[in-house]
Amino acid sequence: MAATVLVIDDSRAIRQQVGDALAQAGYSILEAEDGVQGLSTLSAQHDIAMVICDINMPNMNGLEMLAKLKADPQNAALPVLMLTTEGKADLISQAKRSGAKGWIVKPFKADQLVAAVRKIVGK
Amino acid sequence: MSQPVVLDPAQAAIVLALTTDACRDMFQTLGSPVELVQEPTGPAPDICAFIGFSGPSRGTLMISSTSELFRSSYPSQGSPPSVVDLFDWAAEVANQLMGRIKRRFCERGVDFEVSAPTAVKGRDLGGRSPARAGACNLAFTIGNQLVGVCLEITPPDSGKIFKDQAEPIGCAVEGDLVLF
Repeated sequence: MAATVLVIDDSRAIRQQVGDALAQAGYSILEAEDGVQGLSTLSAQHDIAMVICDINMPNMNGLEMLAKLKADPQNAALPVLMLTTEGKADLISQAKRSGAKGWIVKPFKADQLVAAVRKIVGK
Repeated sequence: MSQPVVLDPAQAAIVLALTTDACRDMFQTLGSPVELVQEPTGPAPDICAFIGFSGPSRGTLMISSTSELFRSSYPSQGSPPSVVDLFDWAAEVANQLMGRIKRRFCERGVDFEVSAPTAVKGRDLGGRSPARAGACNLAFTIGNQLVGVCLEITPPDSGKIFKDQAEPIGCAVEGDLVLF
């Protein structure tokens, strides 16, 4: 069965771009528009293998969402990859300390993203 | 009412150079040759995207272009993008351009927080905003489409955005992947 990846980004274009790349690689995709909707999706769906999350989003940004996700025992082990235009070293360190698995600075290459997802969750 | 802080010409020249470089870097990812133009001509922009930033210096980045440019550069390979998709993509282009500008500011020791972007549609939005103090106005062609960029920036009370011999703020660059 294909692993399911939850893509959280306020840009539909980016969600589609990520979805296209991962679907071609055999993954199933769920989408959320911000951190609040992302946490809600995680509460409702228990077969999610990984989260890919933007930082700058309305309602709840990606770092807040990451902290809340890691504080929830049900989701604490879920791998999270940050995908963002932000590249500041202190934000990357903050994400690492909060338990993220990696960080990609947009724009991304499809093969690079797929390789990272494969490394984190496997095929 | 207090007078706005005026950016000195040397600092304004740095803002212009960094913004121009960031625009070239961003726009070349949209798939057509990019040219900085002094006398903008071409189809009138009908989509405008905005993104704000705040910190010791604060302001707004605006980018305007045609639906055609955002349609032709839309990144998903699925069905043709709707009008709402074009707004969304325009906002994301503004977001990615702001990311490049921010990185260049960080290399000169200046940091700021970036807001979520938004976009609107209208008629004859114009390639450039009227010139005003603190505004950096640029026009590019990407293929045969005109793109206007306006960065309005209010410096700190000192009037200096960039300090002499400031330490660079460490940043990853576009496309970098770090696995922990």
